[in-house]
Amino acid sequence: MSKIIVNQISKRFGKTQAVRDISFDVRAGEIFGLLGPNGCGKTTSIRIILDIYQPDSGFAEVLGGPMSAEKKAKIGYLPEERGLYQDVPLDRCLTYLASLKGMRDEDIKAKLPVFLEKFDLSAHAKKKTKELSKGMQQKGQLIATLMHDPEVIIIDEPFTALDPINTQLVKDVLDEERQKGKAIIMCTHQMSQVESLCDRLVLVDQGRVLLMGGLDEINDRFKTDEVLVKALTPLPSSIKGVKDIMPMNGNHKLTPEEGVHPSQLLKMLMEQGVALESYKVLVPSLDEIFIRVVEEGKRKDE
Amino acid sequence: MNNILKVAKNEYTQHVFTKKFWVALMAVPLIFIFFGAISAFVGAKSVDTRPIGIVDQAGIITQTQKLDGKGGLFDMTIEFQGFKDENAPKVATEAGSLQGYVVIPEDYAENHTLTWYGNKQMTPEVQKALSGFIGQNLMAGLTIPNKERIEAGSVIRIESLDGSVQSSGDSWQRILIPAITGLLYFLLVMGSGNYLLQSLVGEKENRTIEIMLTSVTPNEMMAGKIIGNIGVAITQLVSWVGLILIGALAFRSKLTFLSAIEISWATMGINLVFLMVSFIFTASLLAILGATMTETQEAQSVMGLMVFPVMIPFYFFVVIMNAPNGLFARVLSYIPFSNPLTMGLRMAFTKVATWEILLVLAVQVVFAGLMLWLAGKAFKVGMLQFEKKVSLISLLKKEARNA
Repeated sequence: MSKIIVNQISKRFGKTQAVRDISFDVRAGEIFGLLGPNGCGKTTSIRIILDIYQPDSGFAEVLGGPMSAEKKAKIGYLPEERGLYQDVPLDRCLTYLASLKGMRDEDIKAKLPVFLEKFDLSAHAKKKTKELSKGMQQKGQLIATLMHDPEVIIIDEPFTALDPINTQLVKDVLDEERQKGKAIIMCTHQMSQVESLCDRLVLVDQGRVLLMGGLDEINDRFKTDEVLVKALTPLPSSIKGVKDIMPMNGNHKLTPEEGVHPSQLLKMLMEQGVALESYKVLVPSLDEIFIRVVEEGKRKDE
Repeated sequence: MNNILKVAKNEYTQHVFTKKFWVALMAVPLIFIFFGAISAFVGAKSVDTRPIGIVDQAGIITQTQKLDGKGGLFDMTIEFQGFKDENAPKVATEAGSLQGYVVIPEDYAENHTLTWYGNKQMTPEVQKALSGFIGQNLMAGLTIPNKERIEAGSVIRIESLDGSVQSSGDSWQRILIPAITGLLYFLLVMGSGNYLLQSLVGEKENRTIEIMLTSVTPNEMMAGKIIGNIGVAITQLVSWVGLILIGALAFRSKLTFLSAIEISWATMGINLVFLMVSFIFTASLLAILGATMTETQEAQSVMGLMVFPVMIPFYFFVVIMNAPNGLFARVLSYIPFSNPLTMGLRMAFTKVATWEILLVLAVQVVFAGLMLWLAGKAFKVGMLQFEKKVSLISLLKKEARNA
C-alpha cells in the first residue's frame, strides 16, 4: 500500500521551473531514494509533500489523502538544513519538538532516555545544543525525527557529518524502521548508501523525473554484456566472440560481439584455452548510472 | 494542549527561565533607582539647610516657624530665626552659621520691600516660602472669611456644553494614565517585540523553522510566539509594577500626592484594549520584517529603527493635548503606532464620541488582523529563505504566487 502518492506535481518560482510533472509513490516497508543533483527539485518536492508549498498543478497525498494537522504528527522529517534550538539543553529541545508532534509528557519521559541511549547521547542530554559536535547534533535531530514513531519518514542527507560508526548506526536504525513497515524517503548524494539501503528510487534533474524503478530493475536496465577478466596467461590479440579488448588496471575489459551473452563468452574463452584467474560481468555503479542519465538528459535538452 | 499554547509556553519559558532575562528585568528599575538616588542626593546636597535670620523692624512677625525646604523623601527644613537687630545675624552669616538674613524695614507696609543680606542669591524655593511665611504672619490674628480656602487654592473642573464631564484635576494627573499607556506600548515593543523578532530570526538562523513547519502551521507558530511574548511582557510589567508598589508602600508617608489621582477603570480598560491591538499590529509587522532577515544582528538594527514610529505621539504630545479633537490628533488615532498614546490623551483631555472610539478600534482591529494574516503568509515563504536576504516586495510577490 502506498503511504505517499505524488501525482504530476509542478511548481514554478518566478522564472525557475523548480518541479515539473513529477510522479512517484512510496510504499509501506520500503526505503525510497529521491536522488538528483543540487537544485534539481528534491527539496521543493518534499516541501510539497509536507504541505509547506502548494503545487501549481498536480497533487501529493500522504497516508491516503491530503495533508492535515493529524497527519503531520505521523511524519518524521529530517531536513537538509539541520536545526535545533542552540541555547537550550538537548533534552529540553527534543521534549519540545516531540510535544509538537503530539506526544504526551509521560511518553516523552519514557522514550527520550531510550533514544538518547541508542544514539549514545545520554551523557550529553543536559548540554546546550550549541556545545555538541555536528555529528551529535545530527543524531539529536534524528531522535526528533523518529521519537514520535512516525508512519512516514523523510530524511534528507542523513549521513552528512557522521563518522563510519555512526553512519552504520543510522543505517541500522533506518533498516529497523523499514522492518516495522514505515515508508521512508531518503534523499542523498551518497550512492553507496542508496545501493545498500534503498528498495526503489527516482532520479530527478532540472525538476523532472529521469529515472525510476527498483534497484535491481535499474541495474538490469543499465547493465552491459561487458566482462572484466584477469588472465593467468597473456590474452591473445583476438578472441573469438569478443569485439573489443581493453586493458584496465591489470585486468582486461572484454566487449562481446552482438548476440554473445557473458555466459557464452566464458564458455568460448575456456574452449580457446584462455586461463582465467577471475571473470566478472560488469554492472555499472549507481554513480555511473546517475552521471550517465543526468548527462543524457542535458544532451536531450540541448 | 494545542500547538499555539505549546509554542507560547516554549517561547515564554525560553526567555523567562533564564538568568539573562531576570538580570535585564531587574536592571531597569535598578538603573532608575540608581540615577534617581544620585539625582536626589545631588539635589539634597545643593539645598542649603542652614537657618535664615529675620530682622523684623516692622513688627509684623508674631510667630517663628520652620520652613519646609525641599520636603519629600529627605524631609529637609530650614529654620527662620528672629533677631532684634542686624549685628548678630551679620556675624552669624559671616561665620557661616546662617545662610543669610532678611531685614523687614519699618515702612514694609507701604513699600512691600525686604532686603536679603547674604553671600549668595536667595534660592527660588526660599523666596517663595518666605513670601508665604510673611503672608501668614500678616494674616495672623485677622478674621478673614474663607481664609483656609484662599490658602488651598481651587481645583478647576471642566465640563462640555452638553453637561457631560470632560476632565477634572491637574494636567499632570490627566496625562499620567495615557503617558503610562504610551510608555507601556514603547516598553512592550522594545522588550517583548524585540524578543519576538529575535526569536523569529533565530528560528531561521538555527534552521529549526523547517522542522517546526512540519508540526505546526505558520499561523499557529506566529500566534504562539506572539502570545508567549505577550506573556513575557506581562511578566516584565507585573515585576516592575510590583517593585513600584513595594517602593510606594515603603515610602507611602512621603508620597501623599498619589492619593490625588482619580482613575477611571473604564478608560483604563479602553486604553488597554488599544494597547494590545496596537501591539499585535506591531508584533506582526516585526514578524514580516523577521521573515526577510537572515541574522539576529540585522534584527537588532531594525529594532533601533522601530523607536521612531513608536515615539511619534510623544513628539506631538502638546499638540494632541491642545487640540484633542483636531484633525492631526484624529489622524494619529488611526495609525497603530501612535494609537495607544493619542487615544489615551484624547480621552483624557476631551470627550471622544463613542462612535469614534468604536470606529478607531474597528480600524485598529482590521489593521492588526490584516498584518497578522500577512505575517503568517510572509513567514511561510520568507522563513525558508536561509541564505539570502529577501526584499519585502519580492516576499509578497512570492506569496502571491504560492497562495
